[in-house]
Amino acid sequence: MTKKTPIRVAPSADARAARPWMNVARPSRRSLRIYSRDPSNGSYLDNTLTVDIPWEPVQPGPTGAHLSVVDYDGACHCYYPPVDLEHPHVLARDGLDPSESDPRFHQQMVYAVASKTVEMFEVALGRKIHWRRGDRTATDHDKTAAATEDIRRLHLFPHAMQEPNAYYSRDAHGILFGYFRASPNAKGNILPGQRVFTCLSYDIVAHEVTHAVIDGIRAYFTEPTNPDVLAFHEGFADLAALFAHFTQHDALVDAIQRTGGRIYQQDLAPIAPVTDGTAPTISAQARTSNPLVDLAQQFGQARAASRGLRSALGTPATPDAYKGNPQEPHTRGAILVAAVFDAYFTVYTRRTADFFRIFRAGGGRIDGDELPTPLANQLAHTAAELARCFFQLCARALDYCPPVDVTFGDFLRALVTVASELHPRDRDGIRDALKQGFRQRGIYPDSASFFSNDALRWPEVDQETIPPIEPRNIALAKNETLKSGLKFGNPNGLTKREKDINGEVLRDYFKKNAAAFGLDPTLNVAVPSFHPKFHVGEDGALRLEMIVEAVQHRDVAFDPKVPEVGQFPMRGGATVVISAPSVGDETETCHVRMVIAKPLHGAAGAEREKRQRRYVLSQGLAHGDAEDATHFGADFQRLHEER
Amino acid sequence: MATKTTSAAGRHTKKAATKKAATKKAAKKTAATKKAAIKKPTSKRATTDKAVKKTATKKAAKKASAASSSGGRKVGIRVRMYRVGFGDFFLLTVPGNDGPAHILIDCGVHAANIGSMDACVQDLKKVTGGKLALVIVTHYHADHLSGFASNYDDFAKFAHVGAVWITNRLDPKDERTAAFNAKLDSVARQLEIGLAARGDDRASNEARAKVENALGAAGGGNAKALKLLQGGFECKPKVFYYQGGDTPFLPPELEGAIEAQILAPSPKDSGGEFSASDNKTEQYLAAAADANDSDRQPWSPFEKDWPASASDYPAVAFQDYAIGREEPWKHMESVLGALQPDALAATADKLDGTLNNQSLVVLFTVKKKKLLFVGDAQWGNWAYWLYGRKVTGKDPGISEEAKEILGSIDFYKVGHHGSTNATPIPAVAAMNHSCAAMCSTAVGAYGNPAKKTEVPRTALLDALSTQLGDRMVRSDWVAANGEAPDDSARDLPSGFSTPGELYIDFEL
Repeated sequence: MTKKTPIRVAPSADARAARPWMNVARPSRRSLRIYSRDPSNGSYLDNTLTVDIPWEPVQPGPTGAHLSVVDYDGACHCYYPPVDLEHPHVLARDGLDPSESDPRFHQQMVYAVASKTVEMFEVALGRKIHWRRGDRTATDHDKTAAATEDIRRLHLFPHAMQEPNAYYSRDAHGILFGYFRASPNAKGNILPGQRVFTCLSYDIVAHEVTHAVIDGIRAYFTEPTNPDVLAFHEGFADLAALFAHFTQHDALVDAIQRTGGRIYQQDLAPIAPVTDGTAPTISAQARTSNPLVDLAQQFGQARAASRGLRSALGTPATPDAYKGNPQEPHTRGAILVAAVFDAYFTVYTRRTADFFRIFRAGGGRIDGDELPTPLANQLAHTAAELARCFFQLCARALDYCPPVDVTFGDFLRALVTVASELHPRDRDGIRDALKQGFRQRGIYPDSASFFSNDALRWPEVDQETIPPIEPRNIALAKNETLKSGLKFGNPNGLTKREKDINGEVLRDYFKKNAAAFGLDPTLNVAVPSFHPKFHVGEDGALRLEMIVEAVQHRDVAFDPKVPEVGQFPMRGGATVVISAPSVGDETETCHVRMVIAKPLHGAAGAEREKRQRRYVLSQGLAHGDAEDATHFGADFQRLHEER
Repeated sequence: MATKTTSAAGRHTKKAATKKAATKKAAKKTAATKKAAIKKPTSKRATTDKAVKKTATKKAAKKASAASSSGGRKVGIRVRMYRVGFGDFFLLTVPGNDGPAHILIDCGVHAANIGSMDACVQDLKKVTGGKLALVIVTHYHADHLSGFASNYDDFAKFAHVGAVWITNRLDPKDERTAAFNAKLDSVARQLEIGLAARGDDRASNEARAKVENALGAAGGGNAKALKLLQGGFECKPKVFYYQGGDTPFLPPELEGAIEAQILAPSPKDSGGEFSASDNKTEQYLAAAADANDSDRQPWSPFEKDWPASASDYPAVAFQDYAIGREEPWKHMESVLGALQPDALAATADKLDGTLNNQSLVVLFTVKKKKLLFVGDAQWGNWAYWLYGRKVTGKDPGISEEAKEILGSIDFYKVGHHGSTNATPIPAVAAMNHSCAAMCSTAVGAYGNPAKKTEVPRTALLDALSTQLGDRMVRSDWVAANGEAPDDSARDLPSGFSTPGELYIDFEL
């Protein structure tokens, strides 16, 4: 008797995943393959890399909670099919293999690098970031209009246009990456006339995403009110892209070995030695530029430059470059980048000196640039850890910048303030290195009276002059009134209700005390952002603070004598650091600890107005359509075309 | 020279007094006074003088009171602005060494051509008797040149031309300039081809107009005009090429009678943003000229076909564009469409600006009166002489010299047909309140009122007019060739007059 086996249909993937015994914890990371820098890089090292990014469920695109890749080609008016990262075959192999000819890989790489960049910021800041929110400062601004300006998901368009350009656009709610044919005079590892995709450059993706991140933190840093503002945007975006280089261990070890540990060198030593004074005969003898300090190599080579687009070593340690007062934002931003990396390399050298001493004391010898691998590994760990530390300082310093009209000097003061709070003892001399890096390049804050730590730190305010923030009655909903002070929430964020309460309390407070913050009491005060900050001090105690932006604006005539010709927006405001009430304080009263102000009111306000007018006129901004809201904003499209 | 000026002024005061007393008397008498104010004519200049007299009579008849109420002290300077459409055609008449001497500054029309050019040239011939002391060409644009091409034969037969001044960016002997011009020409021709295939949208039309302006009508009018200026006059005048800072040559009939100062364009070797043909612009335009036609057509970045549509993407991917919209991806597509680089339009714009910034800017001083003609100078050109140094962003207050010039001028030829990029706000503010201004323009030819870039820019002209106490007059305020005056036309302020059509005169 034969036993009949019933035919079994294989259960679906979802059904299989839903089986109770397959109840496995969700992974925390997702691994994806990418080009380590760009397709041109690394003939010697493997130029691909597997990065891991925070896990989130993704739909085709990839489309996640805060990022959405939409592959619409605006030049060809067509879509390319979206990659599905959740497909088992894709999951099993850490994403698609790197390929220049497969748009689905391009989407994967853009998503991976953008996620990694966002994570870098969130780790450094210790909080979740959000993208740009619509301008709600104008009193008559329609709330729906502001809501349509809110960027909920940052859209990444990997093949948006045919142009050697990539830029962040508020209008598009995202970043447009272009593709183009390399110049007939292209140099380096690419063919003349070959297709070049900006979305396959780690540096370009990281740089553009950083623009979007900054725009979410400081919305007015796109308004050029002095030559430093846009340069700051560009310089900071380069800093983020450069510090990301130090997270790639293999590339870092290679660079350390080929520079003899002097990673601040412009070039890597050739793999094969060359006899002095002779030209290299084989390609292994050619010197190559140091990928750690070079930005966007393929893009630069495709435009017929021998090096990358820009470098961490943009300007020497002299005040000449800054004194020359360059107006082009990338050129000026390069001075900021060089100042920060000067400090970074100084501290790196100081910290690693002992490794070399120990190595030599143990009988080790260093021949030329050759370093033994264990030593190189130690150096790489130090370099990577220090890069994380410096990037954290830079990212947190954003919070300590004024809300408008930032200068490099303001950023130095913010850096010194953050460094003093995070590392009060400062064994490695980070603060001093930063100060020297800026000072050597002629960057001084015009608001500080001395170039000492104490003078550079933003001052603690005098409690007599700035009144405390007390609980007050607020009308939340139609029938709900309650008395409440500021809500600090918990480290994972604030609830909607807590945010509503804070908004009311703060707007009311600034309206009543405008003059104390250099604000105009007759104008409305907007509070574009407030976020609680949790920080464990060196003594292990938890410190709880809130960082608040207060901003107001008025329109001013280009020339008060001929007001008909047009106006420009003049903004003032303050970044205010507020301490949480001490434990057991039943009154919920908070004290203001720091005020980082750009006054709009009084003599200081008048002086700022005069300076801004001169700047606006000198830039020819008084021409063209001054009434167009975007006229005084940065046009990243134009800005990036020129580079 | 100094003595001469003093005596002239002295004589003039007397005349003015006479004039004042005689105001209520016949218009004929006023005309006679004026005739006397201009130096005694030689017999050769009889025709000329008759023409001047005739015009003066007409004017006097029309505006008898204007002449006396404008503050008197007429020194015999007249600026005639012809209405040709969108273009410059100015005739400056000054008291020269042998009687009235005529200076022609530009003669062209491009957009909004109302067909009055020939009539204007005939008037010019009549009023000057075929004798010009000076011909000035500010820059290489049809709206400043076309008349020299369309009326080539008329001009070629002029009995006398004292000298020709041209912007040194058109000097054929300078190899670098010549090469650059050849490149510009090739860029313009490439653009012409590229733009021909495009639709009837505003951006394409405007780009086409800019390219045509650079080439001249029928793609070569400008070259023909330049040929005339550089050697087509039968009387073979000397041709000079100038840049800012040069001391220009004055023909005998003007030498000593007037002074002329060349303020711009910036010296060729000044580099950077000041030089109208700087390296960056050159590279940019060269790249545009070299670009393959195949580059202008969209090309597929992938060898394989990857067909897909918006529906392959999850709906949440378009959520950001969904507020108040049914099909949010269409909005996203249109936003990306609008952000596409319009290389052709951008190049046309750059070409236009480059040529405008080559403009010769001339300041005349005649009998202590100052007259400023700026051609189509845009920001880069102004920046050079207004600031007189590198604009750094720190303290760009305009230079003392520029302040002095602007604060003392008596006449200003409004730059670039009143467009928004052509008279910087610091310049408006620094301008002498008793200065008069003329603006040759036509509405609706360029720009977009919705974007507040219309030419002429109303706000700018209003501000200028206010600064000058309403003494700013536009060429389209007078009828010409059956074209009625523009709606904005007002009664002419004192000092200005018109026979009722074709041109407006301003007398000093």
